[in-house]
Amino acid sequence: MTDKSIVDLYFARSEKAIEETASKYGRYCYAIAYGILHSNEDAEESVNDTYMGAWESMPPHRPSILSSFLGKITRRISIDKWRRKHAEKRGGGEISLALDELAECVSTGEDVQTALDKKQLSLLIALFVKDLPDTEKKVFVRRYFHLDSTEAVAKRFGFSESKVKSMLYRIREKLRAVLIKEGYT
Amino acid sequence: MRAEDLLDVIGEIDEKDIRFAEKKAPKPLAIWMSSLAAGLALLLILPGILMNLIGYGAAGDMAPGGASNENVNDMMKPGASQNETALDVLGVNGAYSVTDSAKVAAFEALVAEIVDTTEGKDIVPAPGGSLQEGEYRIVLMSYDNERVEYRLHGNSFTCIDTCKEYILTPAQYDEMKTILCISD
Repeated sequence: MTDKSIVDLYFARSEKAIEETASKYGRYCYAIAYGILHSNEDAEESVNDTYMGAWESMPPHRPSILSSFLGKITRRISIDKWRRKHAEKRGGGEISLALDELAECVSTGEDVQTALDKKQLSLLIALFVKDLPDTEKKVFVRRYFHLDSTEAVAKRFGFSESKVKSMLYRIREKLRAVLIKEGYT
Repeated sequence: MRAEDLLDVIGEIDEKDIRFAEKKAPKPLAIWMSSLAAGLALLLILPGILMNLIGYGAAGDMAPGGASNENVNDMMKPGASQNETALDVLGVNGAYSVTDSAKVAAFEALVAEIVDTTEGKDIVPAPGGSLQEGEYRIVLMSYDNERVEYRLHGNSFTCIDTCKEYILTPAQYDEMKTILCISD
């Protein structure tokens, strides 16, 4: 079934929407969730919560790319789940490593104060990613959206791991410069 | 702002960019072709390289005031070689090691970029002998004692092992100097 037809089912409030979503994107969402949580049970729970999230979002939202829209929901739910589990300590895993890397870009350690600040930051980051050269964009998104390990990113694109680390280092330096310029850090 | 905030907002990037990153990049044909060409070139010039190596060790002394060949191996910090790769940099005024893993990785990535994107000129025999003012000899020494040697003189960058010279772009030259802590 096409993405448009699936979205139309959501708009028609047909429960078949969930069935079709699971059939077409269940594995995709599971892969994202498992990559973050490393637990079958938790990943399955995240995926089920994703369907709920999708049901609540559509309507009114009509995503341009359904897979990425679902992927965002799964990622958000999975990261929140990970945070609840690791409230006391960071622990290991790719999220911890990614957070350590991203910490190089920020310096204040304070929360983003308001929802408006967070929305503006969101737009800034979206533009930053959009303006990255193609290869850098792919590497950045795989590492910090999908939370793939640097080894997995290297394997995916046929690079050495050192090249991926080097590329990410340069991108983080660019991001840091942008955040400083905009007063976020 | 915390790193967690950054991680959250990265989740809100454009769906098109997420989709774009999910497409696997096919290995460019050019990379395979250039690897094959490099292999063939090495087979053809191997006799020349061997001849050069026999004569290279005897003539490899530095200019007065510069570091000698022997200093290259002495420069590795005791105990620093386990699971580490380092860059040894020799100039006419002295020598030092770069052991910061991020810088070493950046150097390797920059060399890979230079080799992939720049037309290299064959230079046989490979440069040797005393260093000139402004010239640097760079040895990438891996933890298992594998050595890869380069020379940098202005924006001319030579891979000694493959006998190829590359002219760096201004951006590449600046990046090389930053990584190797070379000032003008």
